[in-house]
Amino acid sequence: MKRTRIDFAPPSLRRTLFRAPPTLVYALPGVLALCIPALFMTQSYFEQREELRDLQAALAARSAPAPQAAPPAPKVAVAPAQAGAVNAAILQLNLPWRDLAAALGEATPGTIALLALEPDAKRRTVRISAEARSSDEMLAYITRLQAEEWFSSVVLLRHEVMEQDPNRPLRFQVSVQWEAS
Amino acid sequence: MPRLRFSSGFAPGLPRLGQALRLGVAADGLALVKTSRLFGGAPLALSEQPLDLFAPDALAPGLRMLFADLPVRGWPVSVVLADELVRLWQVPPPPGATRMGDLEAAAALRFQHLFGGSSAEWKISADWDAADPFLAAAAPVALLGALAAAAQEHGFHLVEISPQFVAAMNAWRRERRQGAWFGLVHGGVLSLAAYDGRRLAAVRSAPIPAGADRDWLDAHIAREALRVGIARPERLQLSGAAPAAWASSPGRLKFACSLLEQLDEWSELARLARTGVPA
Repeated sequence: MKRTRIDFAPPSLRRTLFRAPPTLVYALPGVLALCIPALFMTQSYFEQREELRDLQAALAARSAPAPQAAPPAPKVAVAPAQAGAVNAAILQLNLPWRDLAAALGEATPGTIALLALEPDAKRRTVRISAEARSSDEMLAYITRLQAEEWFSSVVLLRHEVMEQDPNRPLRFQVSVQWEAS
Repeated sequence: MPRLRFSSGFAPGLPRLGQALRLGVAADGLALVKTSRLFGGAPLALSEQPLDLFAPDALAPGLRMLFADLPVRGWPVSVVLADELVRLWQVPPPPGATRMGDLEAAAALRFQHLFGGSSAEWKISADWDAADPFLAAAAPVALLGALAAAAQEHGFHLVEISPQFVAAMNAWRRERRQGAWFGLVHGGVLSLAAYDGRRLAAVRSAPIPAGADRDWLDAHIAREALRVGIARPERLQLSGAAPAAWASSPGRLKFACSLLEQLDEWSELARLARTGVPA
Protein backbone atom coordinates (compact mmCIF):
# COMPACT_ATOMS: atom_id res chain seq x y z
CA MET A 1 0.00 0.00 0.00
CA LYS A 2 1.18 3.52 -0.66
CA ARG A 3 2.17 5.88 2.08
CA THR A 4 -0.48 8.11 3.64
CA ARG A 5 1.02 11.58 3.50
CA ILE A 6 -0.44 13.30 6.54
CA ASP A 7 2.03 15.43 8.40
CA PHE A 8 1.52 18.56 10.48
CA ALA A 9 5.23 19.35 10.86
CA PRO A 10 6.33 22.70 9.38
CA PRO A 11 8.38 22.22 6.20
CA SER A 12 12.14 22.41 6.70
CA LEU A 13 15.39 21.02 5.30
CA ARG A 14 15.71 18.66 8.25
CA ARG A 15 12.26 17.26 7.51
CA THR A 16 13.13 16.67 3.85
CA LEU A 17 16.36 14.88 4.80
CA PHE A 18 14.50 12.83 7.38
CA ARG A 19 11.90 11.77 4.81
CA ALA A 20 14.54 10.61 2.35
CA PRO A 21 14.66 6.81 2.45
CA PRO A 22 17.52 5.59 4.68
CA THR A 23 18.65 3.19 1.97
CA LEU A 24 19.98 6.24 0.11
CA VAL A 25 22.94 6.00 2.47
CA TYR A 26 24.00 2.86 0.62
CA ALA A 27 24.13 4.87 -2.61
CA LEU A 28 26.66 7.23 -1.03
CA PRO A 29 29.79 5.15 -1.90
CA GLY A 30 28.61 4.95 -5.50
CA VAL A 31 28.17 8.71 -5.66
CA LEU A 32 31.62 9.23 -4.14
CA ALA A 33 33.12 6.74 -6.60
CA LEU A 34 31.62 8.76 -9.44
CA CYS A 35 33.03 11.92 -7.93
CA ILE A 36 36.67 10.77 -8.05
CA PRO A 37 36.96 10.51 -11.88
CA ALA A 38 34.99 13.74 -12.13
CA LEU A 39 37.59 15.39 -9.91
CA PHE A 40 40.46 14.16 -12.09
CA MET A 41 38.67 15.19 -15.27
CA THR A 42 38.06 18.67 -13.87
CA GLN A 43 41.70 19.01 -12.92
CA SER A 44 42.94 17.91 -16.35
CA TYR A 45 40.44 20.26 -17.97
CA PHE A 46 41.85 23.20 -16.05
CA GLU A 47 45.41 22.17 -16.89
CA GLN A 48 44.56 21.89 -20.57
CA ARG A 49 42.87 25.25 -20.51
CA GLU A 50 45.96 26.83 -18.99
CA GLU A 51 48.19 25.17 -21.62
CA LEU A 52 45.94 26.44 -24.37
CA ARG A 53 46.08 29.94 -22.96
CA ASP A 54 49.89 29.82 -22.82
CA LEU A 55 50.00 28.49 -26.38
CA GLN A 56 47.72 31.21 -27.64
CA ALA A 57 49.80 33.84 -25.88
CA ALA A 58 53.01 32.45 -27.45
CA LEU A 59 51.37 32.32 -30.88
CA ALA A 60 50.13 35.85 -30.58
CA ALA A 61 53.58 37.02 -29.52
CA ARG A 62 55.16 35.30 -32.54
CA SER A 63 52.72 36.51 -35.17
CA ALA A 64 52.49 40.09 -33.96
CA PRO A 65 54.83 42.60 -35.82
CA ALA A 66 57.81 43.89 -33.87
CA PRO A 67 56.83 47.01 -32.04
CA GLN A 68 58.25 50.16 -33.73
CA ALA A 69 59.46 53.14 -31.79
CA ALA A 70 57.36 56.19 -32.50
CA PRO A 71 59.30 58.53 -34.88
CA PRO A 72 60.59 61.61 -33.09
CA ALA A 73 58.79 64.79 -33.90
CA PRO A 74 60.75 66.70 -36.59
CA LYS A 75 62.27 69.92 -35.44
CA VAL A 76 60.87 72.83 -37.31
CA ALA A 77 62.85 76.00 -37.63
CA VAL A 78 60.67 79.04 -37.21
CA ALA A 79 61.68 82.34 -38.80
CA PRO A 80 61.57 85.40 -36.49
CA ALA A 81 59.01 87.09 -38.72
CA GLN A 82 56.79 84.03 -38.65
CA ALA A 83 57.12 83.78 -34.86
CA GLY A 84 56.16 87.42 -34.55
CA ALA A 85 53.09 86.88 -36.71
CA VAL A 86 52.05 83.89 -34.66
CA ASN A 87 52.53 85.78 -31.42
CA ALA A 88 50.52 88.68 -32.80
CA ALA A 89 47.75 86.34 -33.81
CA ILE A 90 47.78 84.81 -30.35
CA LEU A 91 47.65 88.24 -28.77
CA GLN A 92 44.74 89.12 -31.02
CA LEU A 93 42.98 85.94 -30.01
CA ASN A 94 43.63 86.68 -26.37
CA LEU A 95 42.12 90.13 -26.64
CA PRO A 96 39.91 90.74 -23.59
CA TRP A 97 36.85 91.37 -25.68
CA ARG A 98 34.44 90.87 -22.87
CA ASP A 99 36.05 93.44 -20.56
CA LEU A 100 36.47 95.90 -23.42
CA ALA A 101 32.87 95.64 -24.49
CA ALA A 102 31.67 95.97 -20.92
CA ALA A 103 33.77 99.08 -20.26
CA LEU A 104 32.70 100.71 -23.52
CA GLY A 105 29.07 99.87 -23.00
CA GLU A 106 29.23 101.41 -19.56
CA ALA A 107 30.86 104.62 -20.82
CA THR A 108 28.81 105.16 -23.99
CA PRO A 109 25.61 107.19 -23.50
CA GLY A 110 22.65 106.94 -25.86
CA THR A 111 23.54 110.19 -27.63
CA ILE A 112 26.80 108.76 -29.02
CA ALA A 113 26.66 106.46 -32.04
CA LEU A 114 29.55 104.03 -32.19
CA LEU A 115 30.63 103.50 -35.82
CA ALA A 116 33.72 101.30 -35.56
CA LEU A 117 36.07 99.67 -33.08
CA GLU A 118 39.59 98.84 -34.24
CA PRO A 119 41.49 97.07 -31.47
CA ASP A 120 45.27 96.72 -31.61
CA ALA A 121 46.27 93.96 -29.25
CA LYS A 122 49.97 94.58 -29.54
CA ARG A 123 49.75 98.08 -28.25
CA ARG A 124 46.69 97.43 -26.13
CA THR A 125 44.79 100.26 -27.81
CA VAL A 126 41.47 100.52 -29.49
CA ARG A 127 40.50 103.14 -32.01
CA ILE A 128 36.89 104.20 -31.63
CA SER A 129 35.04 105.95 -34.47
CA ALA A 130 31.82 107.58 -33.33
CA GLU A 131 29.36 110.33 -34.13
CA ALA A 132 27.86 112.89 -31.78
CA ARG A 133 25.31 115.60 -32.27
CA SER A 134 27.53 118.36 -30.87
CA SER A 135 31.04 118.93 -29.61
CA ASP A 136 29.75 119.18 -26.05
CA GLU A 137 28.47 115.65 -26.22
CA MET A 138 31.75 114.51 -27.70
CA LEU A 139 33.74 116.13 -24.92
CA ALA A 140 31.42 114.71 -22.29
CA TYR A 141 31.94 111.28 -23.83
CA ILE A 142 35.72 111.64 -23.73
CA THR A 143 35.52 112.72 -20.11
CA ARG A 144 33.47 109.67 -19.28
CA LEU A 145 35.96 107.42 -21.04
CA GLN A 146 38.76 108.97 -19.02
CA ALA A 147 36.83 108.37 -15.83
CA GLU A 148 36.59 104.66 -16.68
CA GLU A 149 39.13 102.71 -14.60
CA TRP A 150 39.91 100.17 -17.23
CA PHE A 151 41.34 102.72 -19.71
CA SER A 152 44.68 104.31 -18.90
CA SER A 153 44.74 107.02 -21.58
CA VAL A 154 42.17 108.51 -23.92
CA VAL A 155 43.31 110.68 -26.87
CA LEU A 156 41.08 112.45 -29.35
CA LEU A 157 42.73 111.85 -32.74
CA ARG A 158 40.54 113.92 -35.04
CA HIS A 159 37.04 115.23 -35.48
CA GLU A 160 34.99 116.80 -38.29
CA VAL A 161 31.46 117.92 -38.96
CA MET A 162 29.74 115.91 -41.67
CA GLU A 163 28.45 118.68 -43.85
CA GLN A 164 26.75 116.49 -46.41
CA ASP A 165 24.54 114.98 -43.74
CA PRO A 166 21.41 117.11 -43.12
CA ASN A 167 21.73 116.54 -39.33
CA ARG A 168 25.33 117.76 -39.41
CA PRO A 169 26.71 115.20 -36.94
CA LEU A 170 30.17 115.48 -35.46
CA ARG A 171 32.29 112.49 -36.45
CA PHE A 172 35.36 111.87 -34.33
CA GLN A 173 38.03 109.25 -33.61
CA VAL A 174 39.36 108.48 -30.14
CA SER A 175 42.34 106.23 -29.31
CA VAL A 176 41.96 104.48 -26.01
CA GLN A 177 44.64 102.43 -24.26
CA TRP A 178 43.73 99.83 -21.67
CA GLU A 179 45.77 98.66 -18.78
CA ALA A 180 47.48 95.34 -18.91
CA SER A 181 45.58 92.98 -16.65
CA MET B 1 3.76 13.82 39.27
CA PRO B 2 6.69 11.41 39.05
CA ARG B 3 8.70 11.02 35.91
CA LEU B 4 9.56 7.51 34.84
CA ARG B 5 12.98 6.73 33.42
CA PHE B 6 13.53 3.50 31.57
CA SER B 7 16.99 3.86 30.27
CA SER B 8 19.99 5.70 31.54
CA GLY B 9 22.07 4.81 28.50
CA PHE B 10 21.23 7.96 26.60
CA ALA B 11 24.09 10.36 26.70
CA PRO B 12 25.27 11.34 23.21
CA GLY B 13 25.28 15.05 22.51
CA LEU B 14 24.33 14.69 18.86
CA PRO B 15 22.38 11.98 17.05
CA ARG B 16 24.30 9.43 15.06
CA LEU B 17 23.30 8.73 11.46
CA GLY B 18 19.80 7.33 11.25
CA GLN B 19 18.94 7.90 14.88
CA ALA B 20 15.88 9.88 15.87
CA LEU B 21 13.54 10.49 18.77
CA ARG B 22 9.81 9.84 18.83
CA LEU B 23 7.61 11.85 21.13
CA GLY B 24 4.19 10.45 21.99
CA VAL B 25 1.62 13.05 23.02
CA ALA B 26 -1.57 11.75 24.64
CA ALA B 27 -4.22 13.44 26.74
CA ASP B 28 -2.80 11.87 29.89
CA GLY B 29 0.94 12.02 29.33
CA LEU B 30 4.05 12.23 27.20
CA ALA B 31 6.61 9.58 26.28
CA LEU B 32 9.99 9.67 24.55
CA VAL B 33 11.46 6.81 22.52
CA LYS B 34 14.78 6.60 20.68
CA THR B 35 14.85 4.82 17.33
CA SER B 36 17.56 3.84 14.91
CA ARG B 37 16.56 3.53 11.27
CA LEU B 38 19.78 2.45 9.66
CA PHE B 39 21.28 -0.50 11.45
CA GLY B 40 18.19 -2.22 12.73
CA GLY B 41 18.50 -1.09 16.33
CA ALA B 42 15.48 -1.81 18.51
CA PRO B 43 13.52 1.21 19.77
CA LEU B 44 14.46 2.27 23.28
CA ALA B 45 11.97 3.85 25.72
CA LEU B 46 13.66 6.81 27.39
CA SER B 47 11.16 8.48 29.70
CA GLU B 48 7.52 9.17 30.42
CA GLN B 49 5.76 12.13 31.94
CA PRO B 50 2.12 11.86 33.08
CA LEU B 51 0.14 15.09 32.75
CA ASP B 52 -3.32 16.45 32.01
CA LEU B 53 -3.01 17.89 28.52
CA PHE B 54 -6.38 19.61 28.69
CA ALA B 55 -5.22 21.84 31.54
CA PRO B 56 -4.23 25.25 30.15
CA ASP B 57 -0.56 25.51 29.18
CA ALA B 58 0.23 22.01 30.39
CA LEU B 59 2.41 20.94 27.46
CA ALA B 60 5.39 23.28 27.89
CA PRO B 61 6.17 22.44 31.56
CA GLY B 62 5.43 18.78 30.84
CA LEU B 63 7.99 18.72 28.02
CA ARG B 64 10.48 20.57 30.21
CA MET B 65 10.16 17.83 32.85
CA LEU B 66 10.31 15.11 30.20
CA PHE B 67 13.50 16.51 28.67
CA ALA B 68 15.16 17.28 32.02
CA ASP B 69 18.74 15.92 31.83
CA LEU B 70 18.06 14.47 28.34
CA PRO B 71 20.18 16.24 25.73
CA VAL B 72 17.68 16.56 22.88
CA ARG B 73 19.29 19.61 21.24
CA GLY B 74 19.91 18.92 17.54
CA TRP B 75 17.91 15.67 17.44
CA PRO B 76 15.21 15.04 14.85
CA VAL B 77 11.94 14.43 16.68
CA SER B 78 8.84 12.76 15.24
CA VAL B 79 5.68 13.49 17.17
CA VAL B 80 2.88 10.94 17.38
CA LEU B 81 -0.43 12.48 18.43
CA ALA B 82 -2.85 10.16 20.15
CA ASP B 83 -6.06 9.70 18.22
CA GLU B 84 -8.16 11.30 20.96
CA LEU B 85 -6.34 14.61 20.28
CA VAL B 86 -6.94 14.65 16.55
CA ARG B 87 -9.88 14.15 14.22
CA LEU B 88 -9.74 11.70 11.35
CA TRP B 89 -12.23 11.45 8.54
CA GLN B 90 -12.66 10.30 4.98
CA VAL B 91 -13.25 12.83 2.21
CA PRO B 92 -14.68 11.93 -1.19
CA PRO B 93 -13.20 14.36 -3.73
CA PRO B 94 -15.81 16.62 -5.35
CA PRO B 95 -16.63 15.54 -8.92
CA GLY B 96 -14.74 17.62 -11.43
CA ALA B 97 -12.25 18.94 -8.91
CA THR B 98 -9.55 20.76 -10.84
CA ARG B 99 -7.57 22.59 -8.20
CA MET B 100 -6.07 21.94 -4.80
CA GLY B 101 -8.49 24.54 -3.42
CA ASP B 102 -11.44 22.32 -4.38
CA LEU B 103 -10.07 19.42 -2.32
CA GLU B 104 -9.28 21.69 0.63
CA ALA B 105 -12.78 23.15 0.55
CA ALA B 106 -14.29 19.65 0.38
CA ALA B 107 -12.23 18.54 3.39
CA ALA B 108 -13.20 21.65 5.40
CA LEU B 109 -16.89 21.25 4.51
CA ARG B 110 -16.90 17.60 5.55
CA PHE B 111 -15.11 18.52 8.78
CA GLN B 112 -17.89 20.98 9.62
CA HIS B 113 -20.55 18.48 8.66
CA LEU B 114 -19.07 15.66 10.78
CA PHE B 115 -17.77 17.49 13.84
CA GLY B 116 -19.66 20.81 13.78
CA GLY B 117 -18.14 24.16 14.52
CA SER B 118 -15.57 26.07 12.57
CA SER B 119 -12.30 24.58 11.37
CA ALA B 120 -10.44 27.81 12.25
CA GLU B 121 -8.90 26.31 15.40
CA TRP B 122 -7.81 23.17 13.58
CA LYS B 123 -5.12 22.58 11.04
CA ILE B 124 -6.15 20.15 8.32
CA SER B 125 -3.68 17.88 6.59
CA ALA B 126 -4.71 15.15 4.19
CA ASP B 127 -3.45 12.55 1.78
CA TRP B 128 -4.85 14.63 -1.10
CA ASP B 129 -6.25 12.65 -3.99
CA ALA B 130 -8.40 14.09 -6.78
CA ALA B 131 -9.72 10.73 -8.00
CA ASP B 132 -10.34 8.51 -4.95
CA PRO B 133 -11.65 9.16 -1.45
CA PHE B 134 -8.80 10.11 0.82
CA LEU B 135 -8.01 10.30 4.51
CA ALA B 136 -7.91 13.71 6.19
CA ALA B 137 -6.80 14.65 9.69
CA ALA B 138 -7.13 17.78 11.78
CA ALA B 139 -4.99 18.74 14.77
CA PRO B 140 -5.59 21.67 17.15
CA VAL B 141 -3.62 24.75 16.10
CA ALA B 142 -2.80 25.50 19.75
CA LEU B 143 -1.20 22.07 20.23
CA LEU B 144 0.89 22.42 17.06
CA GLY B 145 1.95 25.91 18.13
CA ALA B 146 3.00 24.63 21.55
CA LEU B 147 5.05 21.85 19.91
CA ALA B 148 6.79 24.33 17.58
CA ALA B 149 7.55 26.60 20.55
CA ALA B 150 8.95 23.63 22.49
CA ALA B 151 11.15 22.71 19.49
CA GLN B 152 12.52 26.24 19.53
CA GLU B 153 13.05 26.21 23.30
CA HIS B 154 14.79 22.83 23.48
CA GLY B 155 16.56 23.10 20.11
CA PHE B 156 15.28 19.91 18.52
CA HIS B 157 13.96 19.60 14.94
CA LEU B 158 10.32 18.73 14.33
CA VAL B 159 10.54 16.39 11.35
CA GLU B 160 7.11 14.78 11.55
CA ILE B 161 3.84 15.28 13.38
CA SER B 162 1.26 12.64 12.58
CA PRO B 163 -1.75 11.04 14.22
CA GLN B 164 -1.10 7.63 15.73
CA PHE B 165 -3.47 5.90 13.31
CA VAL B 166 -1.68 7.40 10.29
CA ALA B 167 1.71 6.48 11.78
CA ALA B 168 0.53 2.89 12.22
CA MET B 169 -0.86 2.74 8.66
CA ASN B 170 2.46 3.93 7.27
CA ALA B 171 4.54 1.66 9.47
CA TRP B 172 2.68 -1.42 8.31
CA ARG B 173 2.11 -0.35 4.72
CA ARG B 174 4.36 -3.08 3.34
CA GLU B 175 2.40 -5.78 5.16
CA ARG B 176 -1.00 -4.44 4.26
CA ARG B 177 -3.00 -6.24 1.59
CA GLN B 178 -5.22 -4.73 -1.05
CA GLY B 179 -8.86 -4.70 0.12
CA ALA B 180 -8.03 -5.65 3.71
CA TRP B 181 -9.33 -3.45 6.50
CA PHE B 182 -6.72 -1.95 8.77
CA GLY B 183 -7.19 -1.48 12.50
CA LEU B 184 -5.32 -0.04 15.44
CA VAL B 185 -5.94 -1.08 19.03
CA HIS B 186 -4.74 1.46 21.55
CA GLY B 187 -5.98 2.50 24.96
CA GLY B 188 -9.08 0.32 24.77
CA VAL B 189 -10.19 1.87 21.47
CA LEU B 190 -10.38 0.10 18.13
CA SER B 191 -9.85 2.43 15.16
CA LEU B 192 -10.70 1.03 11.76
CA ALA B 193 -9.99 2.06 8.19
CA ALA B 194 -12.65 0.38 6.09
CA TYR B 195 -11.75 -0.28 2.46
CA ASP B 196 -13.99 -1.11 -0.46
CA GLY B 197 -11.51 -2.74 -2.81
CA ARG B 198 -8.71 -0.18 -2.97
CA ARG B 199 -10.92 2.79 -2.11
CA LEU B 200 -10.98 4.09 1.45
CA ALA B 201 -14.62 3.96 2.54
CA ALA B 202 -14.55 5.21 6.13
CA VAL B 203 -12.52 5.70 9.27
CA ARG B 204 -14.27 4.75 12.50
CA SER B 205 -13.38 4.34 16.16
CA ALA B 206 -15.17 2.38 18.89
CA PRO B 207 -14.35 1.54 22.49
CA ILE B 208 -13.59 -2.12 23.15
CA PRO B 209 -15.77 -3.48 25.97
CA ALA B 210 -14.11 -5.45 28.74
CA GLY B 211 -13.67 -9.11 27.84
CA ALA B 212 -14.29 -8.56 24.14
CA ASP B 213 -13.56 -11.78 22.25
CA ARG B 214 -13.48 -12.86 18.64
CA ASP B 215 -17.29 -13.01 18.49
CA TRP B 216 -17.51 -9.38 19.51
CA LEU B 217 -14.98 -8.51 16.80
CA ASP B 218 -16.98 -10.43 14.18
CA ALA B 219 -20.17 -8.65 15.19
CA HIS B 220 -18.46 -5.28 15.32
CA ILE B 221 -16.94 -5.65 11.86
CA ALA B 222 -20.29 -6.79 10.44
CA ARG B 223 -22.01 -3.79 12.06
CA GLU B 224 -19.44 -1.34 10.72
CA ALA B 225 -19.67 -2.80 7.22
CA LEU B 226 -23.44 -2.36 7.32
CA ARG B 227 -23.13 1.17 8.63
CA VAL B 228 -20.69 2.19 5.91
CA GLY B 229 -22.64 0.30 3.29
CA ILE B 230 -19.95 -1.98 1.95
CA ALA B 231 -19.27 -5.69 1.98
CA ARG B 232 -17.62 -7.35 4.97
CA PRO B 233 -13.86 -7.60 4.47
CA GLU B 234 -12.09 -10.84 3.75
CA ARG B 235 -9.21 -9.85 5.90
CA LEU B 236 -8.64 -7.54 8.85
CA GLN B 237 -5.12 -6.52 9.80
CA LEU B 238 -4.71 -5.23 13.33
CA SER B 239 -1.78 -3.38 14.81
CA GLY B 240 -1.28 -2.34 18.40
CA ALA B 241 -2.14 -4.22 21.56
CA ALA B 242 -4.87 -6.44 20.17
CA PRO B 243 -5.88 -9.49 22.24
CA ALA B 244 -4.26 -12.64 20.94
CA ALA B 245 -7.70 -14.35 20.95
CA TRP B 246 -8.77 -12.17 18.01
CA ALA B 247 -6.35 -13.86 15.64
CA SER B 248 -7.99 -16.20 13.15
CA SER B 249 -8.74 -19.65 14.36
CA PRO B 250 -9.43 -22.42 11.84
CA GLY B 251 -12.92 -23.15 13.19
CA ARG B 252 -14.81 -20.04 12.14
CA LEU B 253 -13.67 -18.10 9.16
CA LYS B 254 -16.03 -15.20 8.51
CA PHE B 255 -12.93 -13.19 7.78
CA ALA B 256 -9.26 -13.60 8.47
CA CYS B 257 -7.79 -11.47 11.20
CA SER B 258 -4.05 -11.11 11.42
CA LEU B 259 -2.31 -9.41 14.29
CA LEU B 260 0.68 -7.43 13.12
CA GLU B 261 2.10 -6.94 16.61
CA GLN B 262 2.47 -9.05 19.69
CA LEU B 263 1.66 -7.86 23.17
CA ASP B 264 4.75 -6.85 25.09
CA GLU B 265 5.61 -5.13 28.34
CA TRP B 266 5.75 -1.63 26.88
CA SER B 267 3.49 0.88 28.60
CA GLU B 268 0.58 2.53 26.81
CA LEU B 269 2.39 5.88 26.47
CA ALA B 270 5.67 4.37 25.26
CA ARG B 271 3.72 2.23 22.80
CA LEU B 272 2.09 5.42 21.47
CA ALA B 273 5.48 7.02 20.95
CA ARG B 274 6.78 3.85 19.31
CA THR B 275 3.90 3.69 16.80
CA GLY B 276 5.24 4.26 13.31
CA VAL B 277 8.57 2.57 13.80
CA PRO B 278 8.77 0.13 10.90
CA ALA B 279 8.84 -3.44 12.11
